[in-house]
Amino acid sequence: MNPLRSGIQRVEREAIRHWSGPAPLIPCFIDSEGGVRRLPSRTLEVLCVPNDDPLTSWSVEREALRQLASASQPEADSAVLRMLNLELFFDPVRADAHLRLAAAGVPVLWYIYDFIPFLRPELFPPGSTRHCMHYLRALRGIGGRLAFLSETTRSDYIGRIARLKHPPENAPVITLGADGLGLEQQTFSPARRLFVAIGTVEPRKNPGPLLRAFRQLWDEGIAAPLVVAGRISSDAEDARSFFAQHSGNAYLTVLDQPSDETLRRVLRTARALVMPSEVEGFGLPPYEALHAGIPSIASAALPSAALLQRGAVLLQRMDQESIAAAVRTLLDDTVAAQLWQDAARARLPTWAEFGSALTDWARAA
Amino acid sequence: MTIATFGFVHSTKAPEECLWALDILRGWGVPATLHFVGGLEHMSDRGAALHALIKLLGLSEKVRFAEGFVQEQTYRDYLIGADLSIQLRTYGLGGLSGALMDCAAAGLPTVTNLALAEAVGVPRAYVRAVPNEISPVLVAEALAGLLESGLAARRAEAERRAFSEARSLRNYVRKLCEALSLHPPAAAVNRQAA
Repeated sequence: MNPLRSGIQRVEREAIRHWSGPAPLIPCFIDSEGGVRRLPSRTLEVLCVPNDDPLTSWSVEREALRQLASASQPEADSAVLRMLNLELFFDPVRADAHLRLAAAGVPVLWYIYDFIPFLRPELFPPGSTRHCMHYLRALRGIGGRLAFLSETTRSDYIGRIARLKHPPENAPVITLGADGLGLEQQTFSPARRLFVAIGTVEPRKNPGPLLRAFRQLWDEGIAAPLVVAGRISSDAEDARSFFAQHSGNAYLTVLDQPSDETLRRVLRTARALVMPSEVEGFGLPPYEALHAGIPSIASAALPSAALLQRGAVLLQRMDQESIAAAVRTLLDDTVAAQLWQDAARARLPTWAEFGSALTDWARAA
Repeated sequence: MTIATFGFVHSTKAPEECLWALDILRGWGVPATLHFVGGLEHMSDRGAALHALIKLLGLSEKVRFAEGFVQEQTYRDYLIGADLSIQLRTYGLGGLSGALMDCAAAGLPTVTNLALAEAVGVPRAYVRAVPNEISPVLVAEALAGLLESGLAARRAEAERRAFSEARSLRNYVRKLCEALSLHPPAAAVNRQAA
C-alpha cells in the first residue's frame, strides 16, 4: 500500500467510503489458487481511516490488512451475487477467477482506469506489456459490464481494445471526485510564490523538463520556489541526481511520500501546481488543486484536461521551454490573479458524487 | 487469413507476444491463423510455455510450428502464400533479420519493431513498425491496419520492385567496390550478381 494514497488506491478507498447501497460492499480477495475469500468487514474501516491517522502509516496498515487476510474465509462461487472490481491486476489466476465467476452467471463489474501499458508500451521496460495481457484476456470474457475513468479510456476501449462497432450500453464514464485532499477553498495573494509538483517522480512522468525549467529560471535570477512532493521512484536516477546537486538550494524542496496533511500545508502557500507528465490515466493532482481554487500548469493531453478548462494553463508540449514560459507568466501577479479568479469558478465532482454514480451503475449493470 | 513468422522460434523473437496478438485479432473477428515457419528446437523449454499459452487461449487449432529445419521451398511457399507476417526482436543494438529482408523482398505485408525496421531499412509502404517495447495490442492493431489497407489482398508491387532493386546483390557489389575504391567492369559486376 502506498501511503500517498494516490491513483487506484484513492479510488478504492473513496468508493468504499461513499458507497450508497442498499446492497452492502463485502470485501474479498482472490487467493493464490483462484478461490474467493471473504475478508472481515472491519477491512473496510481500516481502508477508510483518514491518511493523517497513525494507523495509516504504511507498515501499520499493511500489518492490519495482513491480519485481516489471515482471518478471511473461503466463499463459494455460488454465494457471490456480484463482483465489483476496482483493481488493476495482471495475474493469470485472478483473471481466471473473474472469468469463472462470469461463466457461472455472476455479474462481474469492472471499473477501468486506462490502457497505457498496452497502448504506450514505450513508457515501460521492455517485455512489461506481455505480463499485463491476462487483464485484457479477462476483460474480453467477463461480459462487458464496464465503467470508465475517463472519456479517453472509454474511447480507447471502444476504438482500439475491443474495436466495437457500437458503443456498449450502460458503460458510463464515472468521473473521479476532486475533493480527496480535503483542502479548503484557497484565495490568491501575491505572497503565494510556491510552485508545487505532486505525484510519483519517475521517468515516464517526465520530471526532467520540469526540473530543467526551474533550473533555467533560477539561473536567470528568477525567484521561483519549487516543491516536489511524491514518491521518488528507484529508476528516477536523473531526478535523484538533480536533487542531490541542489540539496542546498533554498528554492527547491523535495518531500518524499508526504502525508495528505503535508500536501495541504504546502498547497496553502502555493501559487500554482505544475504537473509535467503527459501520459496519465487521469491526472488527479491538477484536478484536486483546482477544486481548492489553485490553478495548474499541465498537459493538454491529460484525460483530466477536459475538466480543467478554467483556471489552468494547458500546454501542448511539456518541455523545458514551455514549462519555464508558463511559470514565468504565472509569476506576474496580474496574470495569476486572473487565473485564480477563473479557478474559483470551476465546479468539479466530489467523491460523494462519484460514489453515488458508481453505486447507481453497479446496481443497474 | 494466414500470418507467418519466419525463422527458428526463440524468446528474443517475441513468440509469446505473437500469440497474444493472434488472440486479440481473433477477438476482433479476424479469422487469422499463425504459422511459425521455424522450429522450437532453440527454445530452452522446447516450447512448453508457448504450448501452455496456446492451450489457455484456446488457439490449439490456430497455431502451427514447423518441425525441424524448414526446407527452402516451404519457406518460399510461405513468403508467397501468407497474407501477413510478423518479424520481431526483443533487443535492439543493430540486430538484423534476414527473414524480414525476405518478407520485404517478397512484398509480404509485415509488422516488425522500430529498431529492426530501421536496421534493415524496410519499405514503410507495406512494413509497419511498432515500438521496440512490444505490445501485442499494437502488433494486432498494425496487422489489422495492413489488412484494412488492402495490402494483404494486393501486394504493393511497385514498392516491392523498388526495394528489391535497391537492395539487390548487384547494387551491393557496386557499393562495396565503391567503398573499396575498386572499379570493376560492369560485366564483372553483372556476372557476380548473377
